[in-house]
Amino acid sequence: MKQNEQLTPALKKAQEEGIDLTLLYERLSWTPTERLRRNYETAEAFEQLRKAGQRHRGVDGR
Amino acid sequence: MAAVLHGSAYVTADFDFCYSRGKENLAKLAAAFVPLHPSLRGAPKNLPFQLDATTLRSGSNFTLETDLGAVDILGEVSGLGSYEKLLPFSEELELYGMRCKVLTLEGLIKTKKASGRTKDLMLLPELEALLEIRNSQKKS
Repeated sequence: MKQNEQLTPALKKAQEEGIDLTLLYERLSWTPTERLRRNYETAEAFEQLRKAGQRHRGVDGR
Repeated sequence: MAAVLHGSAYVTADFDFCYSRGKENLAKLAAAFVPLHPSLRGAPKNLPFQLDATTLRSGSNFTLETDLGAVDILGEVSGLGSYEKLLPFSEELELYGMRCKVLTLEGLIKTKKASGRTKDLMLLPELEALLEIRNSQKKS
């Protein structure tokens, strides 16, 4: 991750807006296929959590 | 998904494809979807729906549920237009060993701004940061 003094004004602004640049640099170190695969794995984990939440609250989701 | 392919940290579960509306391509697209059992997402289960060339010709953008998950097929993309108009805003990326045309960061930013929807506008600061990183990496 670049230090703040190395960041361009646009990236400093993005950081101030809440963009976590470390996440972006990490993803940019991956291949596009890896980005797709990891997105799928995370989406799948969210789906499992959502289903577990539904089971916990009852089938009607309340 | 194009944002993810360009390095976005947002997680998405659906695929959007823009397709050419040429006669031959409509038939090929419909045939490609047959094994995926497409249905209209959110429509009543008993609503008859067949994704064939005629259906594609009579519509443009379809939101589908398939065996692979949610897939949207778009004859037109907000702010950019048809498949042919999108081509200058596309680049080829290698995915699982295949070359695939993907909307560029510039194209993504243009369409997100044009759609004006909150969920699209929220992505803009990150997409602009990714564009800035890419441009600064090109310079160095």
